[in-house]
Amino acid sequence: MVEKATSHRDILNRRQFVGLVGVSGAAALAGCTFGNNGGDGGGGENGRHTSYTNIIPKNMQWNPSNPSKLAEISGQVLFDAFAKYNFATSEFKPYAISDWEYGGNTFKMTIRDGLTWANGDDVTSADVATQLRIGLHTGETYADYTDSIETPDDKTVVMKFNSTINKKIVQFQILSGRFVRQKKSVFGEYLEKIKKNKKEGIRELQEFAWQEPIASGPFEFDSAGQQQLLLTLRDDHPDSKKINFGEYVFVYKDGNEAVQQALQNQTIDSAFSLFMPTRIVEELPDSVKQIQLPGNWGYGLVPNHSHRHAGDRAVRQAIQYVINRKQVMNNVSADSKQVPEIPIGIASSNQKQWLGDAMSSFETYGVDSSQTKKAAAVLKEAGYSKQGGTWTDKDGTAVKLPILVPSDWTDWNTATQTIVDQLTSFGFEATVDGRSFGNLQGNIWPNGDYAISAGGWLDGAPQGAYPYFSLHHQLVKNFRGFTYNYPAADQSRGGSRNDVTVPSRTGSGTMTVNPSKRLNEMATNTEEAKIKEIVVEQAWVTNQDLPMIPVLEKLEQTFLTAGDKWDIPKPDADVAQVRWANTWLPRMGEMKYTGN
Amino acid sequence: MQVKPTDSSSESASESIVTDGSGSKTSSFSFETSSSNIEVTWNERLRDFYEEFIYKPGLVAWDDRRTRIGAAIMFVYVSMGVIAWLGAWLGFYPEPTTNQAERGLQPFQTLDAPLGTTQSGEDVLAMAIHATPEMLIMVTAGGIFATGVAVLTGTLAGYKGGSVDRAVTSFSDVAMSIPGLPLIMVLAVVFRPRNPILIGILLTINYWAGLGRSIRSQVLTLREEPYVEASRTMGVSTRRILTKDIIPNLMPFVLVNFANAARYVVFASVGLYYLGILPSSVENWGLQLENAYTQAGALVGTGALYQLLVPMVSIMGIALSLILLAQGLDRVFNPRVRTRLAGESESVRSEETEESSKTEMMP
Repeated sequence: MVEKATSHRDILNRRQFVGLVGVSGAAALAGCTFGNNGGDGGGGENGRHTSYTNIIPKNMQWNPSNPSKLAEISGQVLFDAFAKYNFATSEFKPYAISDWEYGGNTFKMTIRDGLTWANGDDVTSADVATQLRIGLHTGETYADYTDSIETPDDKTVVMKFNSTINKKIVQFQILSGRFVRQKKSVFGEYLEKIKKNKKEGIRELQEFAWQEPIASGPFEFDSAGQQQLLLTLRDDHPDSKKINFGEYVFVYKDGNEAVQQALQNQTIDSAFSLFMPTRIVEELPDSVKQIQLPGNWGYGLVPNHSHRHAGDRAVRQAIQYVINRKQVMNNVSADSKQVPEIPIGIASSNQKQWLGDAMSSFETYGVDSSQTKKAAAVLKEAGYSKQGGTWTDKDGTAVKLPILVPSDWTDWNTATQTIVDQLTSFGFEATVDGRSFGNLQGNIWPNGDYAISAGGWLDGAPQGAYPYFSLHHQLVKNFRGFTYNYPAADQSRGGSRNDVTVPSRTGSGTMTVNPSKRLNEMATNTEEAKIKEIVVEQAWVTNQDLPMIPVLEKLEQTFLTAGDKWDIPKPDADVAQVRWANTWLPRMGEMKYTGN
Repeated sequence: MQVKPTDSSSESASESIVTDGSGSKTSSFSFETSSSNIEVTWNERLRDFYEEFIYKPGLVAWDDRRTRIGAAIMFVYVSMGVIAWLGAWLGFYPEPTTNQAERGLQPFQTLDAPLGTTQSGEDVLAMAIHATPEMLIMVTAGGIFATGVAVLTGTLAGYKGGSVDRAVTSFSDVAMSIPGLPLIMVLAVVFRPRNPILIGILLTINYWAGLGRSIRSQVLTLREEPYVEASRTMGVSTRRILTKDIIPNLMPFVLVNFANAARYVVFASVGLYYLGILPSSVENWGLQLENAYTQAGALVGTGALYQLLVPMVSIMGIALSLILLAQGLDRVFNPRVRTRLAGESESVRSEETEESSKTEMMP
């Protein structure tokens, strides 16, 4: 299908139209295109923001319970966030949920006044409750402690928990990254089916491709073709008046490089998240501005704990000693990455805050050096020896470490190649094994069919900023379904939530703990001292046992065009420190169209 | 000429010894030996072989400028291959590794990395050089496999005819009808080949089919030639007719197609490495291109364009060399030109002399 909105312009642009039918025709067109708010009066091509998507628009769908071809960035324009986490202030800014009240074992949310769906219906508590109730069945983390979800009135939703739950965990799990997007009139029937037959109902829900979504956000779905998705401004959203352009378009770009070129040629106005090396950033036009945000996730190595060598703690520690993290960062891009000072299950920027004085007792494994002597000592103690320049185990088998990496993830490939060279020069038989992301995610990761794989070692923004989530990610249940067979991990990740024994932090003997139980204690505790004690203890487990090997942490790169076309705030302004600025700033009236 | 007793394995035996069971020996008549009972030595055979298959073709080839240029370019690649091979053993020109030199160096800034470095500090020239041995092996393996199978199936089908022809032709029709690229992609994903010989064979997995059909039609004409008829009449074995009478006459065609198949392997391997379908741990110009595009952003701005140009020139050079060699070889197997240049045709020589003297006489 050719996009309706663009096809007529190919034949007849707005100026030609004015010339042909006069002022009344122009007024009619403006009214038709922009609704009652009228946009900038410039209309047509002039009042359009163009961004990119990496899914062919015609194939996109907007049912968040169906991971296949799920539209990510356009969904953030079509739907309203519950609240927005601001990285500058470390707080949630209310949005679709205008107010919330934490009561220990309850969480009461109030829906913003005047919020409607694109078909004219009000957004009600029944809609929000439907969405949250679906989450109880589809593995949302709050399902572990939620007893019921109630709707005392049209604008209030109350979640009741089975015990007292840590306030931060509730906020991050309920408010962050959640959008008003599963309308009861569309998704209610699936919830009913799930209640009758859970397995069959979930299957049907996960197969449902919602291709003509009903928006709750300021823009609504117009059309989707092979090359672009067109969204048009609504006139009945509370923030419509703050937006002075009538169309939000997402053009399909296949891969990082295509987006880099589009930004350089200024054929797109924004890119929500993109890896761009320093050299290319420097060559961008002056009007293109970069906003950086903590990624709270990044490139690391996920060892398969059932593998003969990667499953051996001594080998994992040797790998961590050999990796020169700063060299890897410099090879990839020093501007968009940072390195964790100590490899643990806590994001780099939060390590000092949580560990305090205890930090000095943790092993750094060498931030900016390959500590080959220490690596050799660890291996020798575990019975390995070097023969003919290659490390071999007790049986004389060479330590082979093929590292899987998504072949089209540019920065990850550079990082992997650097690590492979470092490991090879140390004496491991390391190789890069690039596969398609789809193949990795579909078969290889879930089946645990690897020795070591490149993978994210943190839980991602914003919740990755809170240690519960990042520790849980490393020790119990990671995302993307890596079956890494860590004994302490969840059954779905090949573990059995077993105890782990590591050297004691006091310097002598060992300590045995159950990460799963301890993190559960943290989730149901409100006492700060107790929470901190568990964080330090579990961070120590990750530091010693290395369930995952942290290497880099990502700084997200968002690009916006300013210049004489768009009026935007400074990149480091607080209002822009959200995921993602190009979808949030228009709602705040902070991204205005000024072009001709 | 030295006379040497014939060994029993010699195919050109002057006589064969048959025992009748009583221990007495009888001599049986052999058609081939009726004219002469003198055996040629190995030295003479080698000399003949050298004369016929190396010296004369070489003379003809060298007379053609295209072959000379093609051979010179190929010599450069073989030298690169040797440097890389020696480099691996002796550390002569080390294999590319990350951080072997300063990151992002432009070309011609330092002798440590004459063609610059990647953003990970890998020597771009070393990357190009160390991709060469595997590429040459891959190209040779692919070329030999494709032409070998094509010659085998084409000659067998063309000469034997009948049901053998029908069976072999049907088989090659099936192979030809399978879309090459998707087949290779599937096989590459399933087998993840890393050995360059295997990759070469994989890339030409159904390339032979079309060539085999062409060879079959050549054989169909050759089998009617009088000398082949004569061999058949004398009861010479099929294997011998094929190897002595048919295949040598196909060689021009085969060698030209060998060069074309080799060129196909270069482009196919580069394409598949570029697409990330072949495993990424093997050095290859396609991978270098892919790295330049995806990791260095060589098409965004001009700062990293050199990383794209070096593998491009490498690919173009070897392809050009193979094209020129193929064209030159075509000339080698043109009998008229070959005889003339090898100095065996008096008539041609006299024609040439006349022509040249005429030219000289012109005012």
